[in-house]
Amino acid sequence: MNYFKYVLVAPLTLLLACGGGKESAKVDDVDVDKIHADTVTKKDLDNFMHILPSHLRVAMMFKNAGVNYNATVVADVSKHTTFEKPYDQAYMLGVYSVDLAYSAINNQTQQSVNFMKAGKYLAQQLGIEQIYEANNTLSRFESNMEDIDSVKTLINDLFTETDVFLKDNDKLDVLLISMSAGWLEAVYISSNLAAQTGKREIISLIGDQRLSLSHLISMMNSHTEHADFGTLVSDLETVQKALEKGQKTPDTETMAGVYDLNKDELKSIVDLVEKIRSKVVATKS
Amino acid sequence: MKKLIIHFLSVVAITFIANSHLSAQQCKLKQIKKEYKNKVEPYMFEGVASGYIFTGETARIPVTLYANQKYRLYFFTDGFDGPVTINIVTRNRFLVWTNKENMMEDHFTFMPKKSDDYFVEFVTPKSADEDARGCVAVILASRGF
Repeated sequence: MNYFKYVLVAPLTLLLACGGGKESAKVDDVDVDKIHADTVTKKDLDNFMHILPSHLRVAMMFKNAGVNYNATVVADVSKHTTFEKPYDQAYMLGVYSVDLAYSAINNQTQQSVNFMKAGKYLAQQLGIEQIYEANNTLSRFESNMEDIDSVKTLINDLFTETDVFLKDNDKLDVLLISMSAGWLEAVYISSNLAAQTGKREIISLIGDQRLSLSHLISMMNSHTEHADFGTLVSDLETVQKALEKGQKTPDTETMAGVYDLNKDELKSIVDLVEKIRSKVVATKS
Repeated sequence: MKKLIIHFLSVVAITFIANSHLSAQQCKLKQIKKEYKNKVEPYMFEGVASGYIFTGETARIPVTLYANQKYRLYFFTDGFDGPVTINIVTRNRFLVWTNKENMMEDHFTFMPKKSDDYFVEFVTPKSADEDARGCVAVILASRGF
């Protein structure tokens, strides 16, 4: 009987899966104040991974806000072979991913190739080298280095492939450690450059990073029985508290409140993130 | 006649096995990414989340979106005995979008006014089989890289 059910459902499923919506030529401008959704009475399932913004998206937004390239704030790529613990390797995979995106979108082509090679090396050490090998990512990257659109596409593809592979293969510990390290690296770079330039746009984006942070902390707390995150969760919670100081007025349903960090608040964030980062990231001699 | 019945049952069995395999594969993120990577163009595939839920249940997949960025969210469902209602709500459950007017709509284009978490909610139809499960997924695509 069940056989027939599946046979009958198949065309409907296909129809639903293939049902294309109308192409929207414009970006909808939605007023969320107008309607309130029906309350969900059934239990919300919590077994879904949050879709977090990609490192490339974050890097692009910071670039658009005025973050220029500064070679002194990225990790020392020459030390990528010195990380022997799996935790450190996963951590550095996240750090190098952000440094890769940051250098590539600022046309630091050779440096970005170095970061990609370092990432591939660490992926090999972690047993997840398929991510790089499946699409010949490194060789395609080297062949297209002068074409920034191709570079962005390849990096985006690498990041999404990493995310998909780690989730599909239940390597959530590697995913969460590298995502957290990437998050810290993005805040490290941006807070350093915000402290140097004082640009409000950059500070505002630093405030926006709290959204991803709260989900990272939540996801790690949900997976502590499967992985040892060391002091990473408590470190991130400390950064979260420091970032909260920038919320000067509360958000409304449709509008963001004022987020700003004065010089002292920024400096304390820079110092805090630098201290956490230095636990793993090789310091330059 | 007996041969015809055996032949028919074989076809049904093969179809069932193939379809079961397809469903399991279709909820794999790799498979969904493969299917949507080109479909989302000119947007760029940015992320995906999927999972199995029991029919009749409601699931919410959270997505973090930034203000003033162009996003397109695609929705994928498989294995349910009827249309699935899809809502996008804010953290305080204000409705941003719903497919109630057009259940065949499979995507929503959106430029948020403020950076926030949004939740894609799948309200799935009940099934006679209490143990039946289906796959739901959200595909995030964006422009402006």
